[in-house]
Amino acid sequence: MSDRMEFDSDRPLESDADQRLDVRAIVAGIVILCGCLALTWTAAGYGIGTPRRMGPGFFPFYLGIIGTGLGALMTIRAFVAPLHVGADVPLRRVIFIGGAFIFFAIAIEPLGLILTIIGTTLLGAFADREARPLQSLMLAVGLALSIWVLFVVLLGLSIPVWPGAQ
Amino acid sequence: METFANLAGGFATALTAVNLFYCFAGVAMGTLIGALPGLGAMLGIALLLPLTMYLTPEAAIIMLAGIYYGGEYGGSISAILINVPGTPSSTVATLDGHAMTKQGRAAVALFASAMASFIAGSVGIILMMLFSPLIAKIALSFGSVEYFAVMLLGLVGAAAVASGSRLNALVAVLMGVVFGTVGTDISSGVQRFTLGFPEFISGISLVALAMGIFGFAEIACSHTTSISDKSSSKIRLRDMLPTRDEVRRSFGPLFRGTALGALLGALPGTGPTIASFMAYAQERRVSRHGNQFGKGAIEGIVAPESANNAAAQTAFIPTLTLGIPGTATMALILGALIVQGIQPGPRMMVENANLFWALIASFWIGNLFLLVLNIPLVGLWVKLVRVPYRFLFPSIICLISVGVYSIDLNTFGVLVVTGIGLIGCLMRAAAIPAAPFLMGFILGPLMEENLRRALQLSRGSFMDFLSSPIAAVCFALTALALLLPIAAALVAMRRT
Repeated sequence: MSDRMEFDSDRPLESDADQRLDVRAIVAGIVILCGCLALTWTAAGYGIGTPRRMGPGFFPFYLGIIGTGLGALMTIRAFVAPLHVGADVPLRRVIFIGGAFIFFAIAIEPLGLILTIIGTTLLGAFADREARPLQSLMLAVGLALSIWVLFVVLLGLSIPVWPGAQ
Repeated sequence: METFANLAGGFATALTAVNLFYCFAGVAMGTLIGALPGLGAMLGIALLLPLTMYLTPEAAIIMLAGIYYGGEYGGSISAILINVPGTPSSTVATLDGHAMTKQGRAAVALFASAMASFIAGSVGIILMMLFSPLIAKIALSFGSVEYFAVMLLGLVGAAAVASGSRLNALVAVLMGVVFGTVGTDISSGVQRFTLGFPEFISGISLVALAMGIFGFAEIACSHTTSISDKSSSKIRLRDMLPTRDEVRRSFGPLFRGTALGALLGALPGTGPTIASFMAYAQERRVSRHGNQFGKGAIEGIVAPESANNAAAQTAFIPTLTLGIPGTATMALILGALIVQGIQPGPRMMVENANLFWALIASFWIGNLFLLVLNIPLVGLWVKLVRVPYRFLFPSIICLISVGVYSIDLNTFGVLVVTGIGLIGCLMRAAAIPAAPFLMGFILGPLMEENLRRALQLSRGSFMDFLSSPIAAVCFALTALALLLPIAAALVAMRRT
């Protein structure tokens, strides 16, 4: 790994910032720990069986035990040697993009392909602060038409195109 | 001689109009998505996965593979021109590549990168032709124990060499394997972890998972700002030729980079990214022009570019001959083949030999396409890379949604993409890498099946596993990969 160290060498190894509590890593460790405990518990309910005759719960049970250990290690490390490597997640983008997907799932059957794509595109476009309404609307119409051509005309999928088609 | 007869058969398949079209579509899409910073070949493959349901297995894998190695070419275009690596494996190409751009020699850098990629890719293909049948022959004697051991090594190896925390990478692998257990247990018929959704009885769809992790999470969390005004250099064909001195200086790095890349590509866990970093570091050490590195030395482009393209080709060796992918992208291609009803592995080399040779033939054709796409047409990509993300991201969201919905005309898949995408964002916040997660998801079910069979054969004894020399070596290496970092950490703690 020495070669990678050279590329990171401009980053200070120990700084005052590293003394802060690494909240993200602590939460992540605890979530993994609890999730894996639940996994172990559920898997045990499926029937572990014996190594010779592995039950449906055998593999997930041991995964859960290993995962519990890893989660505990993550939590301990977060307290002992915080790394602060977690990335910032831009909330605005996550909400708009997630919203766009959920809108698609809700709208496609009642509203049909064209209107759904226009709505999804507009929602997705406003994940970006630079988006301008008219530009985004033009993109939305263009996308709706090209997706209609690609999926309905060329591939022949029976997706409803307009409202009430089903 | 058998090799040539097989290859001729492969070309006969790959040169049909349909397969030529999908090969071209794959490498062109790969170049574009590779050149766009923040978007990698993974997203391209995930986007086109639903489309492959309409294709023959040959056309499907030819196109998906084209995206993969095309992405390696494309990644260096943005690395050289705008100092932003298009793919992780082109990160080092920014150092000397962009330095050359600042000196007004971008055309030379692009030419050197494309030529090095082409030559190294060709060597990688030849190695693949020579070694794959041999490895497949050895692998035919593999039993469940050996498979389990090699897969375990592959997964732990992938975590051990991942950038960032190894512990987090291990957690990612484990999470992937857990997600892979969702659905009906094959041997008992018990439904596991379906959370009450009938759609999960057949497991979490690979397409939805890949799109959530590499589509949703990637576009929501990547720090991509508009790059429209960063580069204004024009690339002209006649500026591309390097000086005679540079050509002479390129042979050594080309040779060493290719050798290193070919080796690292075929090993489990390591892939193009590590190969390019190591090739750069190695070249800086052995080169007589070491002091010029980072200031536009041609060796600094040729070595990593040849390494990552050689690795991109040889990575197919373990994936196709053993059915064990070394990197997450290979795991996705493996998954695509499984969806097509083809289980890669030594038996595929016998039963679907033509698929393998058609793929090899398509590599030659695809690399030629790429040479054309990258040398005379490079200006086109430079323009396309400037498409602002506020146009690109909504388009990707729509394509993902329609693509997933089109598979079974059920909106559940789109909701799974959203859920997995949110998990992917949380994983990013906690610095848990996505690539090992996907590898675990794809290899997990295969591991469980092989473990079950191996334990049945050994009558439940784990000690019997060590009687197979191949398995014993793999277990030893796995233990080493797990214990070395712990030992290193202990030594470091003692010192402070």
